[in-house]
Amino acid sequence: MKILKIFLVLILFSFFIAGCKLEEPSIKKSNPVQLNQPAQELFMSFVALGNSLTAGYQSAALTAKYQEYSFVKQIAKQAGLSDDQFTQPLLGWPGLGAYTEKGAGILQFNGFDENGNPKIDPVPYAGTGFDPFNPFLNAEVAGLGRPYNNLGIPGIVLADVDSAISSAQSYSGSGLIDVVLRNPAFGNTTALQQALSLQPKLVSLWIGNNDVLGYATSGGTYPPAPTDKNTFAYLYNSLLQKLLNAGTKVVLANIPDVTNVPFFTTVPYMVEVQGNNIPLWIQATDGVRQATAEDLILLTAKSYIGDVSGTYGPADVPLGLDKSAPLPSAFVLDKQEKAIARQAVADFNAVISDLAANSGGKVALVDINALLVDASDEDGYPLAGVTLTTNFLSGGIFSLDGVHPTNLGYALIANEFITSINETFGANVPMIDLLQFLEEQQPLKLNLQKIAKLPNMLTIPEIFGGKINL
Amino acid sequence: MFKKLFLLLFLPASFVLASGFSIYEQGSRATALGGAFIARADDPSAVFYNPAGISQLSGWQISVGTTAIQPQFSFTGPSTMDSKFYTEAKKNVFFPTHLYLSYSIKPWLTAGFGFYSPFGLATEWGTKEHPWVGRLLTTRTELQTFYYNPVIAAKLTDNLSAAAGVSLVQANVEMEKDVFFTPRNLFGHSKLKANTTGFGINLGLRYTFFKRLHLGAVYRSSVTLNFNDGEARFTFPTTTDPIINNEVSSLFPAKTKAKSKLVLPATFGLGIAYEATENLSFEFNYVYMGWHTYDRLKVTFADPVGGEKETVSPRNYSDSFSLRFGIEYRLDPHFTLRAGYLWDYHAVPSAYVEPTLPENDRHNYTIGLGYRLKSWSVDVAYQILLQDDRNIKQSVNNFDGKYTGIANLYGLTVGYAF
Repeated sequence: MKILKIFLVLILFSFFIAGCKLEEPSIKKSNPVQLNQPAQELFMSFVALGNSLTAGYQSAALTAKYQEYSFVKQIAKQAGLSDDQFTQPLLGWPGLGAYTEKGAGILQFNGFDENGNPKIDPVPYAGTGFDPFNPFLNAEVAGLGRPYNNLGIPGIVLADVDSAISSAQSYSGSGLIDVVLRNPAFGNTTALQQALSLQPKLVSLWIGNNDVLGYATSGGTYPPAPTDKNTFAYLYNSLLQKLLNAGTKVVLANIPDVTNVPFFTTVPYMVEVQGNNIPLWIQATDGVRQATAEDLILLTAKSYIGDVSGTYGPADVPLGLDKSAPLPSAFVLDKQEKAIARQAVADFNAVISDLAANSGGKVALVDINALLVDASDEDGYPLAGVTLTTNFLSGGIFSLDGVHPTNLGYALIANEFITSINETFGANVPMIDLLQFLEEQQPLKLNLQKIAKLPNMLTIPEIFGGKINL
Repeated sequence: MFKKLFLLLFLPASFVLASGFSIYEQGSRATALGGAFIARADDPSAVFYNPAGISQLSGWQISVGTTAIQPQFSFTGPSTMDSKFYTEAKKNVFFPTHLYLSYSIKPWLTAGFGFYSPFGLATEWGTKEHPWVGRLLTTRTELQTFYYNPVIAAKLTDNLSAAAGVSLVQANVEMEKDVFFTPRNLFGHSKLKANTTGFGINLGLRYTFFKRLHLGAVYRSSVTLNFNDGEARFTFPTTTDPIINNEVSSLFPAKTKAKSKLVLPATFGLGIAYEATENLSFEFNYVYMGWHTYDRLKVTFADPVGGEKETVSPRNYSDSFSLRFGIEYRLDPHFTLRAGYLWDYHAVPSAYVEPTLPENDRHNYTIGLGYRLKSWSVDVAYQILLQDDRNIKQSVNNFDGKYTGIANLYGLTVGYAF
């Protein structure tokens, strides 16, 4: 009995000393992914066709600093392609894009004014050494002896892909066609022809946004209607068949609904005047009337609401605040116009998904629309403690122009593409580590002299919350 | 106003509470019995387990002790980054202590006092130099509660006793995490600190059949903790850009007041004990905890933080329970051996599990030894907590992965009867 007692005490005591330990896994992180056979084949030659979203346009301009984060470049990087294996028409700082009446170049966020409103200004060309007529980052980029892998051209419409050879000979008239296609040096070839000359194994095709976005961002004024759906279906089908006939796999993306894009959702339809919320007066399709929650006021309207200069209405009457001075139609996507735009998006997306479904496994489809619908609800897009939303400036997904994504937004899109490519073609391209991405996006050391030179040219007053200081 | 847009960035991490983070180990004898002590309740720790039990105690009795708790937790993921990436939480040891007094005023009337910490614990992930992947959810969270609990117990009949008590509750909380200022892609750090006092009651009943079969019931009320005078601090690194620096300092007060409210759950327990022989007894307990009180966490700031004066985040905890079984065998007048098992059901729904509280169902095995000599008693206990691995796939934070956990608990309580 005595021995038993001592024995028990010893057992208990040994627990005190040892304790139990958490079993650690033998593998504490994944090994780097070796690309499998399907992935290697797809990325032997990867070419991108599309518009500004493919080009890597951001904050109203195309410039190398952000082209490095175009979603196709990010995909190429994940697939292990070097800068030489996936070439882009990189442009110098501050890039080509926003020719506003207040200046040119990429938009920059310069903090808040004394009222807490964001100051967003284009970077002027003066002093940067940038030459809009030779915008390339360097001679190597400008003189690349073959077409760029990224043939995304800001501003183009669907019809341009297979027909435009220059800005002058195009439907959209986009000035960047000349920069990207470099005709006549490349034999007056179209984007499609240049793409096929690279003998692609995988083509990313995200096109058609401008076939409705041009209509929507101009408040239904220019062009006066989205591309006809039958025309769209015909053009899209023929473009896709030409790609498939050349033996390449294709990854398509559909078109986001305009009502999830901050360009349309940021400016409220009511303004606060002396404590009261008053709906804006607008020039709508059905005449001059006060706006309702159904109408979308465009981001561009913001700096003109309350304008009394007389440029857009009678002098000395604050624009949008009186029946005699309604916001011009170009600043408003009214209820009827919104319905037209949404119908066009739905029609185009139906065409795209039908074609993808009937392609016999050669086409992968990316539902970008679903991603943005998801991010625009009140829960946003949660990411390990930070919540991304489609809000302007603070949301993290859209850049300062309210239409094009940020670096992080493009990373989200790239991951959607990678997921779809992997699922459809049996590839194993690794996803972008978004948390690591956030770490890498910490503010760069900015050139203080450059900042000091910036004139405060365009202040967007009180974009948020429906308050206008009069 | 622009500043209202940062709402979702600054939700503080949750308090570290759940079934498993309620600390039921408030006496080494009871701990060694798997916490099954409601029906027996025959030492001064009855003030916590079932205050009606102190009516069995004669004269003056005092007992004091502590439970060293050594938890280990890990997270593997998040799956959005690397589903095999392994992070271990920092290993800390906590010493919730307990002190009990009882005094038999009259044969039928006994007064008692308890000091104990039934809720608390802490989690810490990563360091300043090596931040961990979940830094935007939590880096460090710590909660302590101290109950000061006088009780009075009466023998209503020979077989039935009843007790009531009040608790003054003191609580301290500290929560730290990193925050992300999206417009500038800038990481900063937030720290919330608060303390307060609250008030609760506890009730107990105990009934004995045929001198060998004991029944017990106990109720401890919820305790509302109003943290009215907390403090929130926000720190961001100084960048080379004065515009960013000004912007950050205008949006984030270096220091401001913060207010919050937390309701500690009510507990209800039932126990049955049977003395099979003079030396061998068993007990079984069912303990229910009303965790539904923790449905959301709301923090109100005196100065706007990122433009917001208030943050609300859903927690949606559900009620949980534990099943406890203990067996005690007296070897001789001096030595007693004990063993127990308890099963704890989780309180945090799957979608709301996050690294502040890496919680799940738990199996616990206990073993212990008691030694008595004259008026002295010494009890030791060892408990191993084995938590089921929890694979989270649809986290509301999009922070999916696998949580594992284990804890070693070591109890020591010394008693003296006057």
